[in-house]
Amino acid sequence: MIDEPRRQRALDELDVVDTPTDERVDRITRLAQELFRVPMVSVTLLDHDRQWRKSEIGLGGREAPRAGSFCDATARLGATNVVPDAAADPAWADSPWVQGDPHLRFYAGHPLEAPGGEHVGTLCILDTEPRELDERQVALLQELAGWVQLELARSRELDGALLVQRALAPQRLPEAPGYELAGASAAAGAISGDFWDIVAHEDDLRVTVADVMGKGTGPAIIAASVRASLRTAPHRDLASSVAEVDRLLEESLSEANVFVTAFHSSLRLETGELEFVDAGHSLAFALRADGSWERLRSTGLPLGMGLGEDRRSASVALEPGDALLCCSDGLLDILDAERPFEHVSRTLAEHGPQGAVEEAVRLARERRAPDDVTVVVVRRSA
Amino acid sequence: MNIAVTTASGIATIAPEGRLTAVAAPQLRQAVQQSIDAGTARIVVDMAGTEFVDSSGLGALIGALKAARLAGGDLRIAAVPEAVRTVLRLTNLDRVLRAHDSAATAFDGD
Repeated sequence: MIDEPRRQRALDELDVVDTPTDERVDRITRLAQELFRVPMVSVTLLDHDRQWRKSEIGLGGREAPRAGSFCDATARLGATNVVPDAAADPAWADSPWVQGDPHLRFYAGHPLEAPGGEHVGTLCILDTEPRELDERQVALLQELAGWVQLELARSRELDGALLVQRALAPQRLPEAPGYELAGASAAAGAISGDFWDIVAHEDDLRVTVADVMGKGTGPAIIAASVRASLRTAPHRDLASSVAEVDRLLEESLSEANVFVTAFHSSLRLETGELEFVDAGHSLAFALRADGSWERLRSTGLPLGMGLGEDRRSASVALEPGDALLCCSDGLLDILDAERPFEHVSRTLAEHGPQGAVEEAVRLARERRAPDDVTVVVVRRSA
Repeated sequence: MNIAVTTASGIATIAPEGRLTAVAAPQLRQAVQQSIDAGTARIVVDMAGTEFVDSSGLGALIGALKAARLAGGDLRIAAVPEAVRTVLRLTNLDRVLRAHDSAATAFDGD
């Protein structure tokens, strides 16, 4: 017999019900649909009296009643459950799932286990036509279910890291009269090695974008520590703050072959004077009100190289109507390859800083950008 | 990845073939360290047979450069693919990792 309270507890501990869709799980349902050539696939979790689908294709909804469902039967069975033709099966012929919408005829499901072995849900494939599964296909379904199980268990750990990163992103942008500020980041994988920051210090704004080379949890943690260091002691001049990060990375990462490119700047709100230190980032631009642009270059090496780099700042003036754009190299992958800056200027003119940043994130997701995309825009009002 | 090492007139030439990524990066570091330990700290990384370098590969080159300089030598790169030159230029790393046309001439004039 199923120990229902224990089963529900195990599901609750996975902390997956009512979370957004997850590309890592969606990938498996897509693969299952492709491999079995079925119209419907679901990763179903049995939550109290309902079925909740972490991922689904063709079912048209994420929730359904649990009582009398195929997936509930599979979880009770605790083994692969194949119903080749439900209409011809006395146990299922009268089921509302068969008699009514979606008029199921074929069902095959395999239980998903929580780390403690409790059957918390199923991976199932469904069809409106009767079908058979051969031995090899049953093994394949079991294999895919094992993979879903792994992703569900792993998402807890990753989501924890994601939470850390979100907590570190600016929750709320500072007030900057006469300026419009916007920034956003879209991670290529689950976690980004990019970060951006805008903080106020007296009459200045500190604007930072950095990119830790590499992807995943390691770079994200390094990004967090770089941000923390740059935020510390804001009265220091820019070059000293950057030099301190250089030292920090060199001490802790000298063997790791990791490096960080960064643009760290201070904007004097009253005059529009922007002082900056560029550490091998080279992706900051002054977009002029007349549509022209210039790259804010310097010759600084990336951070953490350990080559005794002397950090120096340079400066540029933002006139009314001008904007500072700073991004990570991922943005270049998704822009119009021929005329990237026209693309940016046009988007900025049409949608303003916030709209332009949202557009960049939308493009990154739509085009499945291969690298993390981060973009920050600060525009001085005309 | 296959890494060939030849030593002649006090210069070690290290030629990584194929993709210089996270998988191959430790091998490159090891080959450089072995040359340094054997007394040759003047090193040329010949990239004529290197198809692709990612950020880990770049990190390994920088790590190797540091190790060579620490041992009183230097590390130069030769026959660098255009895509790698672009990354070096953008990150200003071309200041410290100068690209030479060929391995044979990388230490000329020293």
